Amino acid sequence: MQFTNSNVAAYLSHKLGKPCEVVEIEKFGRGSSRETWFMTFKSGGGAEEHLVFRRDPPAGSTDPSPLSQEYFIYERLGRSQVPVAKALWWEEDPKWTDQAFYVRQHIEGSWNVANYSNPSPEFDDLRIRISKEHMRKLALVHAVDWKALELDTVLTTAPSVETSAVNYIDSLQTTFEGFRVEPIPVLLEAVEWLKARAPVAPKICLCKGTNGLGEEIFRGEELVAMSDWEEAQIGDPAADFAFLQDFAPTIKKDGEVVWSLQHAIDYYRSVGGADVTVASVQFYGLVRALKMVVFAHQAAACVHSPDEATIRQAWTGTEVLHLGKHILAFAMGWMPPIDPNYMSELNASVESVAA
Amino acid sequence: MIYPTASDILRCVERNLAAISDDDTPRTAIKSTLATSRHLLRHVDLRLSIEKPILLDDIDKASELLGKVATYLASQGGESSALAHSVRAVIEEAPQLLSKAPEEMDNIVHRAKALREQIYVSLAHLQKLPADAQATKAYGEIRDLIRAYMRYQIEQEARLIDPAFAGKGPRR
Repeated sequence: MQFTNSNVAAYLSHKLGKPCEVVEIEKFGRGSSRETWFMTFKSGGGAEEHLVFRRDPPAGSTDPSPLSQEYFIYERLGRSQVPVAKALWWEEDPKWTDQAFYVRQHIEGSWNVANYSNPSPEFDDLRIRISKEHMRKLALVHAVDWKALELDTVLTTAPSVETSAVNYIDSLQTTFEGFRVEPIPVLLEAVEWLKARAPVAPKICLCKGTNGLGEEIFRGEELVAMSDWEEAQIGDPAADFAFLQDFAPTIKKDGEVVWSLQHAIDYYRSVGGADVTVASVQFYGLVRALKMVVFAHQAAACVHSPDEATIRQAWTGTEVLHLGKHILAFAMGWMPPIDPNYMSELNASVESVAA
Repeated sequence: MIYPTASDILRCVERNLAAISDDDTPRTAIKSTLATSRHLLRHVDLRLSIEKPILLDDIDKASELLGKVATYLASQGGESSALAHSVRAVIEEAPQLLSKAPEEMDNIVHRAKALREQIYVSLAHLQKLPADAQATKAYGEIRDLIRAYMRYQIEQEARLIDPAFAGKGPRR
């Protein structure tokens, strides 16, 4: 189904059992793995209502996990303490769509926190408060009873604390082999190198996968909904600290470091988190680079396919794929480091530059 | 990377430019697509200019490496010898394939990919050899040669990526 006003109005009228008029349809500009659509509609003389539709891009998601898995996670986490948008329904009825999508509750808020990225020291305390808020919510994720919620039926699950890292790396390699369209020898080399350095996990728990600024929904300084669960797995909680996207910033006051990754981990432990170590986080940072190669190669495969790939997939399948290989080669000691200015360039968007 | 090809990327850019051409497309989405397209077009320009010589050089280097890998594998006996045989078969296929249409990019891509596949398969095999085999000097040397090839490959790929993207503004 094309998400046009008339199609969505007809669909919602059918689904909700009342005549609906679409006010606005907006495709979310951020995020590259899946499409997020914000639907604003009215029924009769009522107030505006909002829903969120999620689906894969036409050529498939950049993320190897299926959309149905994401829906399942939202549905199950709706029964837990973790703040998530409520999953409402799954749609694959061919009468309405030739491509499955699901619908979830719209949560009022923003992925952005006002002034969080403002470098002025006056916002340092704000950054620390937000980092703590995120750590509190991450501790909730890591405390989820994943067995009771049957999350292990859909997610890669570590069999033990000793084998969690190796299991996760193996799952990435298996995923890669499932869609690879060309050989990437550095991936094999990195898999072997990482396995030889795999740490023991402090516990096995639900891990969100992608975290930090841009992945969650805030209302003021409260994290009201955790989003982007497509990279979730059950394993070492250190993995969640390897991709915090500026949510554990290093902050100095009068020459003294008052906040850092270590401070964030200490705070996380104090609110019930696991015994995560910085060394394990660094290890999972490299696993993250391996994962970057896997999902970027999937994007490359999508662009090579006859289906309609997104422009973001073409970028991911070229520059991001190359970057992932370079990071791995650097970690293994046979390529020079990557310029930090280059890394910060990659995080810029047309929105952030305009702001 | 071999894929996406320059043609794959051009098709993708064309489709995405068409998709943002309707009046309802939000301004930010248009700016983002245009920004990404500009980077990709610079990348395609580089692919058209230097990818062919890079791949031809890669074919030479991969063939040379695989010759040494095959010699090592043959010395190990058993399954390693069988793999050495298939690696040599692919190396020998190369000159005939390229001599038929040496300027044809598809032909070059096919060849480079086939050789790289043999490096990939051989590396996977080497990683599974018993510990005592892995402890030998010859094993260490062959692994180092493969690492040197991988480094070379990433460096060549950087020639197609860095000038197109680095320092050229937001990607999205």
